[in-house]
Amino acid sequence: MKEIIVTLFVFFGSFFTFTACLGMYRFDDIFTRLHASSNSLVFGISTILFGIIVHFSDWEVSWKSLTVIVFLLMTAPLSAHLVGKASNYSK
Amino acid sequence: MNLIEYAYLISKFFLFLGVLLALYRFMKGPEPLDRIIALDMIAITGLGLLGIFMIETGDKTIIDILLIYAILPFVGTASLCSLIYKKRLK
Repeated sequence: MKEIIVTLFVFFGSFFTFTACLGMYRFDDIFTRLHASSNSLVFGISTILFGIIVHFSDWEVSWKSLTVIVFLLMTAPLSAHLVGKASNYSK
Repeated sequence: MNLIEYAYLISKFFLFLGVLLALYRFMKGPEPLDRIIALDMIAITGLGLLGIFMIETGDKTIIDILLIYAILPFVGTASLCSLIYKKRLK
């Protein structure tokens, strides 16, 4: 049962990450690309990391994975804000 | 092969294809900022690929590599973006 839950987490997370990269490939403006890079990528990687938490069921792996998720949730809007601010002044 | 192993194989193929699509945007971005976003995306997708490798092999020490690898692309993105912002503000 645990293996099936981990497999579902990993499969949906990799599917959402692939969706983010497909948006990176197909969108035609920098702001829409920023939307694809900022939102669905963090959701996909967080789902894979929740799969890691369920698979190992260990205290140390769990808090390190939660720290990775918190880092991604902190740095993704910050880098999107920096890119948008630098792109506002384009020539 | 088991069905679960097929699911892991398809997941790794999805992430590999995503890295290739972001690499196309890294090669052929019209602006430097597109290349910066694509590089960030390649690094974070590689983090997910390393996570799937960690689940398959059962090695617990890879989580430290993930912990470092989550902060490292942000430093490059922030420094390059602030450099471009200062250059364009003049």
